Amino acid sequence: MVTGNAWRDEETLHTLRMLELTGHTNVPVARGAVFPLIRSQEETRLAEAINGKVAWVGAWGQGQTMLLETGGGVKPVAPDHLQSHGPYDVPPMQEGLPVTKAIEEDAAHFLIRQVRAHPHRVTVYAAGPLTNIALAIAIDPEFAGLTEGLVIMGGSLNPQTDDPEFAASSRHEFNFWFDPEAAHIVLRAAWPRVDVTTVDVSIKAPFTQKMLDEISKSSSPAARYIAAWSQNRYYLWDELAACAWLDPTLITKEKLVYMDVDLGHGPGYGDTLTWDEKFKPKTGVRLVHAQTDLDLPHFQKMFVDLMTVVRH
Amino acid sequence: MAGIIAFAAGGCNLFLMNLQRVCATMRPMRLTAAILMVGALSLGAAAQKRLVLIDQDGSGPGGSNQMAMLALLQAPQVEVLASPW
Repeated sequence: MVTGNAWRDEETLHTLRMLELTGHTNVPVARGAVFPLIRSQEETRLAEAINGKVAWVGAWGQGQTMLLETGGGVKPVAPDHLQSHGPYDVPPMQEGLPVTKAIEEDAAHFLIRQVRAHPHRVTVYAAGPLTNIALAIAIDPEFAGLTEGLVIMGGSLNPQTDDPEFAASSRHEFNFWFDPEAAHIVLRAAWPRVDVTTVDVSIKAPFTQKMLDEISKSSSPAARYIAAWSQNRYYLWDELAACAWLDPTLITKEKLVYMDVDLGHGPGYGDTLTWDEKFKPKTGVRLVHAQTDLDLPHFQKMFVDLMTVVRH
Repeated sequence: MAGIIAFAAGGCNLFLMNLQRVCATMRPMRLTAAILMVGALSLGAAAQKRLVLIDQDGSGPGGSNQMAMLALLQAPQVEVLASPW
C-alpha cells in the first residue's frame, strides 16, 4: 500500500477486508510509503495561500467527491469541508475490521524480490502515487529494466471537461501531484514499455447507475461487496488502467509522448510535462503510450462482467 | 498497494490481447508471414503466463481503488499466486 487517497495504514485494513469479503485472502498485502519523498502536507497547505487551492489532496483532506448524473452527462460534487486525521489513525471501518494481516516485508522490497524472481515477465500496475516504485528503483537500479513493463494511472494532457478540478488546471493529476519526485524518478527509469491511463481518457469513463444496478443483480462476492460499499460513483480511472492492461483493444486512441513531471515549487509543482521528439529535453526523458480515448461500451461491459463473475 | 502478484494464464482474452499487440507492430509485414508468426505465438500463449504486481493506494470501503484491484483479481485469465515465495 502507498499513502494516496487515504493514509497507508487505513488503506491496508480496507484492502485486507476487501480481500476477505471477496474471497481473495490468498493474496499478500505489503505496506509501503507513509509519506511522499519530498512534498509535505504542511508545505502544501502553506502554498495554497499563494498558488490557490487544490481540489483533491487525498489523505490530507478526505471527503467523498461523486458524480451526479444529469441528462446524459455527469457533474462532480465535492463537499465544502474536507476532513482529515493523523497518518496512523484508523477511523471506524463500516465494513468491519479484517482478521488477516499484512506481510512483514515492505512494499519496495516485495516489488524488487518478485521482479527478480521472474525477470522480464512481470508487469507493474501502478494506480496511486509512485513512491513505492521510486524507492524500489533507488534501492535496485536494475528493477525497471527487469520488468515486462509499467502501467500507470496518472498524468493529464488536455482533458475536455468542465470538471473544475481539471478545466482550469489541465496538466494537474493527483497521483503525480501527490509525489512529484517519485513520478519523475519512475518516468525516467528504463522500463521496456510504459502505458499511461491519463485524466483525458479516465473522465470519459464514469461509474454509472446502470453499471451499479447490473452489478448489484449478481450474487458474486465481488458484486455484493460493490453493491454494499461502492454506492458513491466517480470516474473509473484505476479500473480502466487495469482493464486496458487485460484487453488493450479498449483503448482506441493514444499519443506517444515523452513524459515527466514539473518539479518546480510553484503553481505547477507536480503537473504533467510532455514533449514530442523534436522538442524533448536532452536529460533522459522517455516515451510513454498516453491513452486518450476508449471504447466505452466495451469497457463498461467488461467491467460489469468482471465484477459479476464467480471465481472458484 | 504493493503486494499482489497475479499470474495471467494464456486464456482467450489474453491471447487476443497478445495477438493485437503483435499485429500492431507488424504492419509492414506480409499477411502470410504474420499468420505464421501468430500461429507460433498461439502455441506459446497456451503455456505462457503473465505476471502483474499491483502497487496503488487503497481507500475504502468500495470505491475506485478497491474496484481496480478487483478487476485484476476477478479476471478469468488471471491466476493469483497464493504464496509467491
